[in-house]
Amino acid sequence: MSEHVTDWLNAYHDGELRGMGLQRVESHLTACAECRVALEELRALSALLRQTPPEAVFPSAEHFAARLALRLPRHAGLVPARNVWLELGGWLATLGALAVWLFLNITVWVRSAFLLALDAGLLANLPGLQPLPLQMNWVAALTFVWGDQLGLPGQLVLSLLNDVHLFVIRSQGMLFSELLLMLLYLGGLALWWLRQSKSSFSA
Amino acid sequence: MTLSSSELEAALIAQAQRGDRQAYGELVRQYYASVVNVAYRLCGDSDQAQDATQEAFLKAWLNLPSFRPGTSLRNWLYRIAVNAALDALRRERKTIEAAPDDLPLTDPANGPECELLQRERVHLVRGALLSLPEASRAVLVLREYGELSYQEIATVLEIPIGTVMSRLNSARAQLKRLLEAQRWSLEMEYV
Ligand SMILES: [Zn+2]
Repeated sequence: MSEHVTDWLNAYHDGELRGMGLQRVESHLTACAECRVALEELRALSALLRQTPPEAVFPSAEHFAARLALRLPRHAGLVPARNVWLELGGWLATLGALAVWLFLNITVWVRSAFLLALDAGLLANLPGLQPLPLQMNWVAALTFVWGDQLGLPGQLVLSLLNDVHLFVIRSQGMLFSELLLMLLYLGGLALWWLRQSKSSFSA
Repeated sequence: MTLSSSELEAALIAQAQRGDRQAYGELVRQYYASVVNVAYRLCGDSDQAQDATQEAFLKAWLNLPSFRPGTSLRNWLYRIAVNAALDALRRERKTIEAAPDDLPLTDPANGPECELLQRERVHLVRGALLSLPEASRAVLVLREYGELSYQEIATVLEIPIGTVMSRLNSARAQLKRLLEAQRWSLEMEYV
């Protein structure tokens, strides 16, 4: 005799078997009294469960529906009007912010690499690519007026201050644009999250 | 032209989604009995079951806009109700009380012996169900009382179909052992 079909009896009893599986269980059942008994027990168990009334009496559907109607919030169930343009705009703003941010960062990286290469003299034989000394106007004016009296330490301090100012000016623009992009991006995400939490439900 | 029952239901759902409370009331009346039965078999307590059912229908109303037309409203309601019932169970874990004595369980045409047997049976079934772990009880209840297919149970409970089968197998095996231990013969007259 083939192996018992114990594992498949539940599925067979619940009408979940098709094709080969169904045939295999059916042919086994005709031959095996043990599995037939097990199947009968499953059927009896289901019948016992289904035919045993609850230990309580529930209000009628009519009664329940009437009571529920009093508790239904009036305006719930209304589909909130979806503003397609607003949604699209939100998505575009988010993605656009991300794209611009990527572009800016890549540009900065490339520029840094380029400047590094220039500094290292790797691009020295390329004409017209020598770094131009960048001097702030006030430094130029100071140098023009007191340049001779400053001496070496004074000139060093001045050039350091010049670099600091240069850095602040450059990074200000960068910082500002990055902040703006971050706000735009986070705003887009927040909008999306708000919509999600409103439309989904955690049942 | 007459509408088929599924077309009628789809129309009611669409109306209810637009905020029609009367249409929703129709749907509530239609599904209340099965939902409250599933909730009761899960909780084993009629107060908890009624609270969970009310909570489920309230929640369903609030979330009706997110219900996808064309899917089964009954299964969607079951999902909300099962979660509400399991939440209720976790919130207040009541001890399993003995059956109240004043329940109209029986057909008065039957004799007192039959009534006693019936009462015993009702109590036994409730206790047996409650003895199951919640996870497999939910599967068994949706199968026996919700009359869902394995695939539907898998969708409602968000578990793989293989898990549905193994939980159902173990739930029934455990019930069988329990009933045998109580010397309740499964070959009695319930076939
Ligand atoms: Zn066999």
